[in-house]
Formats: sequence, structure tokens, C-alpha cells
Amino acid sequence: MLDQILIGQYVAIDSFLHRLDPRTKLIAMFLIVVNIFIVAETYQYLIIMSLVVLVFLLSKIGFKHLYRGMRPILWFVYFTFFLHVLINKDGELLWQYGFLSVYSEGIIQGFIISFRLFVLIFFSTILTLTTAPMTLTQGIEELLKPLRRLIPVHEIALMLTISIRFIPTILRETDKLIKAQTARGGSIGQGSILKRVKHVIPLVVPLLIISFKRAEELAIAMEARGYRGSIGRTKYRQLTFNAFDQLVLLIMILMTSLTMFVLFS
Amino acid sequence: MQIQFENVSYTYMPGTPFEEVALENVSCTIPSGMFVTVLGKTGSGKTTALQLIKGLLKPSRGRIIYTTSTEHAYKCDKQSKQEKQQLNAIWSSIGYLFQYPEHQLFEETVERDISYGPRNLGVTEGAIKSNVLEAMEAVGLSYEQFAERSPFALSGGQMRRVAIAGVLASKPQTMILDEPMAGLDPISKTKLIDMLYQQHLANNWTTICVSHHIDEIWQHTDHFLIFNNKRIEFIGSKQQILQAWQQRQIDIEPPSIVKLALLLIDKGIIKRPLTELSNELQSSEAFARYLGGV
Repeated sequence: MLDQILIGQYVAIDSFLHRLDPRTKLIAMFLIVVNIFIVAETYQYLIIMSLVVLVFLLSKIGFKHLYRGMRPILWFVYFTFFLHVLINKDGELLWQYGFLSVYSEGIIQGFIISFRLFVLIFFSTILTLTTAPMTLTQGIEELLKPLRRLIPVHEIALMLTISIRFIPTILRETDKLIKAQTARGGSIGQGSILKRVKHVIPLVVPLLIISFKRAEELAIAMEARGYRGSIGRTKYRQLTFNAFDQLVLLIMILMTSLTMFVLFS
Repeated sequence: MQIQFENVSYTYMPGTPFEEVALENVSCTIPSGMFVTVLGKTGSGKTTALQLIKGLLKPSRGRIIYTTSTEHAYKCDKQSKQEKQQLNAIWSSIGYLFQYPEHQLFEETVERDISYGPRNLGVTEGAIKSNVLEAMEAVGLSYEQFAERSPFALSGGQMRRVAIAGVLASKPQTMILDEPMAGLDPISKTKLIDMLYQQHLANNWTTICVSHHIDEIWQHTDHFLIFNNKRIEFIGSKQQILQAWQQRQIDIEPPSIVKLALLLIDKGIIKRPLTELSNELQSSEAFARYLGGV
């Protein structure tokens, strides 16, 4: 029943993007976010569009799978578009029906904003599709390292790692519980909303109990193996920047500087 | 109820990179009224097959035909609305005890947890009460003592019995048991399987039971169903499985009593072939009596 939900949707294949350092991808992602919110000219949108196509091709991810990963959030894009189209009252009046009216500026703004959202969703989806969750958290940890006097970086990364690690476990558990309670006649896929809500309790209570038990067991297991926080801890897997990482970062920094230059001149 | 698989295949998450075939073109007939033991390694497709029977999964290909004593066959592929209703009724009449069923308890009191199943099936309040009483009696929990207690304050074995009572309270006509004894101590295991077997006899169930320990279940089993690598490797009676072991046709490890018999035959101490010993191998007592005469 939970077959369609893809969380931690990493696809383990080999591609240019898969081989990049997670830090590179995170920084590039951040720079793209900066870019997408300050670009204004049509040719800049075209550059970003071609970047989307290029990254898609480099990732070697199947279109169907990508779409499946993006679909749940894409509704947000459609919704934003229609909101802009219907609410923005600038420019020429194009179409009117009762209280609904569409103006030219609304369509343009709708396109721009939903394009920005689409690009954000696209790159974050690609990021999670091409980076193993554990590698990603390691990347975040390394990037946050300069702040380690201010915030417990290692502990935060560990929390992230543990939550990501247990998402599939909990999903499997949920799937089993749904089936077990369905077998007792408590189907959450049927009946009125009230009935469905009532059938959530038989899922949530056992799930919480199991999760607490597991958390306790995990804590004991970690202590038994001598875990004592971040002090003096070394890494088994070391992240290294290679030539491709430097190239990608260089391109991204150049691109961002150019958009900045266009913005301020 | 007789359950017949006809070229059934099942694939998890079709059309994604995580696609995984769990059953491949399985055909078999599970005879009515028998105690069927399902054996096979982890990942061999056992649980998928059981969930298909209960209607928790729909076959990707093929169909499942249910034949009850009074009604006709129901096909489990495309069906009309009326057939769908009948199919739902059949699925509801199948009790399914999951692995570690105590994990699914959620109510505040034992009684309310046990009555969850029948209440969902629309049983009247009066009947629910008597069902709960009967189910608790069957699993050996006294109503006065346990009904108002929280299921989470009980011991592991007691929780499992509450969970089993929760399945019994819906009055199933067919029973699916997915490793009902897993994780219990040896004495509780024997008690539990004996109790379940009594229920099997008393209610005329067709019982399908998965187990990894053939020793625990050998003496109760009428029929064996062995899965291997997403297919059925063997289906047959006790007599037939003895024959298969005699001829070393199947990989599944025989119970210790049969292993002993095979060794004694090899050494020439027992002169009869395994297939003629099915009555003597029924229980260790019967075998001991037989050995006394050899």
C-alpha cells in the first residue's frame, strides 16, 4: 500500500552527478537557489533551463522515476501558477467570466514564479536521487564544521543520519501494521473521513511503541560499541574534492557572479 | 475452504527501480479442512502468497479461486460488483495472524483490543461480548483477570495470546498463521501450537501455518507446501514428503524424528522404507513404541 511513496529515493547507479562530492552538490544547489531568485532577463531563464536539461542528462535518472519523485510537490507548482493567474490584476485584460478574470501580467508572473519553484523542486529531487542519504548528511556535517563551536554539528548530523536510516524501517513497519489492522477489518483505505481517522489510531499507537523501543535499543547498542559523541571521532569515509568538483564549483561561482553583476549594473 | 492458485505472479513496486518479483507463476491447490504447513527460506515468497490469499495484495497476474462447501468458485481477478462483495466476505472470513502479532495491539484494555476485529466486521454488541469471552477462554486468559487490564502491562507471551484472541474473536473459517511461535520460549511454543491445533479441529478450519521449525509442527501437519526461490518446490501430504526425503528430492531439512529414522534405515536397524513408517513417525511416542518392537 505504501508502494508508491518514495522517501530516501536514492537510485544507486553510476553517473557524473553520482560521483560528485556531496559538498559540491550542496553548494551548487545553494548557488542555484540564489541564482533563480535574482535572475530577471529572458536569456538568463534560458540558461537555467538548459542547466536543468544538462543536469537531467548527466544524472542518468529515468524521466518516469524523476517525475514520480517530483509529482507530489508539483501540485504546489500548478497551484502557484493558477493563484497568480487569477489574482494578479496588472497588464491587459485577456479573459473574464463572472468574478474570474485573467490579465497578461498574471500569466507572465505565474510562469516566472512557478518556473522558479519547478527549478527548486527539480534540483532538490535530483540531489536526493543522486546522493545516498548518508553521504548527504556527511556533506552537511562537513559544511557546517566551521560552526562547531556554536552548534553541536556532529550530533545534529547523527540525528539526521538516524532519522534517514530508519525511514525505510518505519515505512515497512507501517505497511505491516496497515495490513495487520486491515486483516482485522480496520481498513484505512475505505469509508468516510471520520472512519478513516478512527483507523489511524490503531496504526499510530503501535508504531510509537515500537519506535520508542527501537530508540532505546539503539542507544544501548551504540553505548555498547563505545560511542561517546563527537570528541576525538574520526571518519571512516573521507570526502575529497576532485577535478570535476572544482570544475562544477567554478562554473557555478562564475554563473552566480555574472547574475550578480547583471543585477547590480 | 479450498484455495487454488492459478499461474499467480506478484511483483512489488512494478515500474520503479525497486521492482521486485516475489512470486513467479505459482499454481497449487490448498485442500479444504487440512492443517497445511508452509516451509521455505526467508524471501522465498511465503508471506506474499499468504497475503494474496487474505486479499491484502492483488495478484499481478493469474488468479486465486476460493471454493467453499456451499458456494461456487470466486475468481480473484476482474470481477463484477456482486462478485467483489462475495470476495470481500470471503476475505473477512479468513483470520490472519501476523508475525509478532503483539506489535499490533493498541487499545487501552485487553477486552477492547480483542473486540476491534468483530466490531469492524459489524458484529452486534451482544455477540461481540460473547465472542470476546470465547476467544479469551480459548487462548487461556481468564476474562475476570485480564479484560480490564492494559495489554501493554502484560508479559510477551500473554500479549501474544491477546493478539491471537483478537483474531479468534472474528470467528474466522480459515486461518493463516505466520510463524505464530516465533520468539517464544520452548514451553510456551508447545502450548501455543497445541492450543492452535485444538482450535483448528474445533472450528473445522483450513489452517495455513508458516514455520521455520518443522519439529514444532510436524505432528499436527496434514499437508506440506514448500516455497523455494519465488516458486513452489513441493506440495503434498505427509506420506508424499516422506517419500521425497527417502529419495532425497527436496532440500528442506526433515524433522529430527525423520532424520533419526533415516539414519536407522541407513544403518540397517530399521528394515522398512520411510514411506511405510508414516504412522510410526507421527509422534515421538509412537516412534518409541515402534522401536521397542524392532
